[in-house]
Amino acid sequence: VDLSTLHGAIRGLVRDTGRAAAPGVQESAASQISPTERAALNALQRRLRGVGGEITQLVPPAGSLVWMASPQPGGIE
Amino acid sequence: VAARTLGGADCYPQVAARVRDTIAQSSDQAAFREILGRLMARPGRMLAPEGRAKWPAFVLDTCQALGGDPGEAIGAAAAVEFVAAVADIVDDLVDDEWDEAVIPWGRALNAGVALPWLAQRCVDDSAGRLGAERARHIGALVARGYLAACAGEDLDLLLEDTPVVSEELAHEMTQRKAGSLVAMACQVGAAIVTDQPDVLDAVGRFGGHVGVVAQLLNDLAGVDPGTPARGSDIRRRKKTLPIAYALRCAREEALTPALAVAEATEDEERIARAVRDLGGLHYTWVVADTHRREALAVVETLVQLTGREAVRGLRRLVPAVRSRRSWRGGA
Repeated sequence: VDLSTLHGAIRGLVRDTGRAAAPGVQESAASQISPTERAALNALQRRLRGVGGEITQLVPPAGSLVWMASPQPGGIE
Repeated sequence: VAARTLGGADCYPQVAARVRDTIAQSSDQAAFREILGRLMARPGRMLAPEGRAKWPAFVLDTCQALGGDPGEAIGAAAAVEFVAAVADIVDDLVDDEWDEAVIPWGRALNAGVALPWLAQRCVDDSAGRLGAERARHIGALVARGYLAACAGEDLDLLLEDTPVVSEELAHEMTQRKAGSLVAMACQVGAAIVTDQPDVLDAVGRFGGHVGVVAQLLNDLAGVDPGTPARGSDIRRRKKTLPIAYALRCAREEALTPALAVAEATEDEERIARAVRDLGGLHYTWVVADTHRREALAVVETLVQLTGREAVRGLRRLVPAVRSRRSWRGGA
């Protein structure tokens, strides 16, 4: 991953969606994600593809939604 | 890091015995031997009562995965344990995280300086079993890895007083400080078995990625909001990767709370929240997971190079990049 490109992807996502600051998703099962949250995550998925990654798992440390990149196809859609 | 993998864990008692024997032969002064023993009994160390040492596994499991007898790697594993111990001691001393009540820092510093020499003695003593040339090679690997880690620690300290640190430089510091030490430990285990340069190189790359993953997870804990045991990263103005990310956001977007990371003028909890809200945790998790995947890819390279399926057992040495709380639904 190019660190500078990744910076832009993450910062853009946070600015657009407020994802990093948004609690509430953390204790939800994937099936309970709201349409708005799902849209935000799908936006993240698209950005990740730009840096060679995919969402494969959602992990919520410290009250924020965090995702992991993976080269495998898939995602939450 | 899973320490009890492959069959190397069976040799842990022997490694512990080698550490004790080496300390016992170090000096005729009982008090000095006693302080050495206490340093090697700190949490996570080989002689700790809870017995959760991770470093010998890098040596023993790599040796076994490549077809060697981990029993041949006892001395080398003890040497790596001594070197890892002093790196850990120095890190805690310079980061103001030393528990003076347990071991006075001055005595810890003095005894810590002796630990690399005990490592050298362990390597020298293994020459009878491994041969002089192989022992010399292992000694050179230990020295190179330890010196690289010292240089990384120095860079870490220099960056404390450097207000503008790029993410690339923070990443390089992480690789030097943490990656080089684990790379060395794995290469030492491999060098018991093989002289093949491409295998040793791949094992070094594997260990380097493993070390970076572990350090980045540690760095995440250092900026975790709401965590009482967050450590001193924010207070000491460390330029860990999540902090370097937040500082770049601050520079480019004139964000005052994040800028306070460099000045250490804000409340630590508020700074931690600022790093999180800017996406610093997201960013660091992606980089950590990227290194994790790189480590797993190198394992496959090693399978091809050696033709040994057992090499896949090394996957267990790669830290899991997961939350403290699990996601119930998955994705």
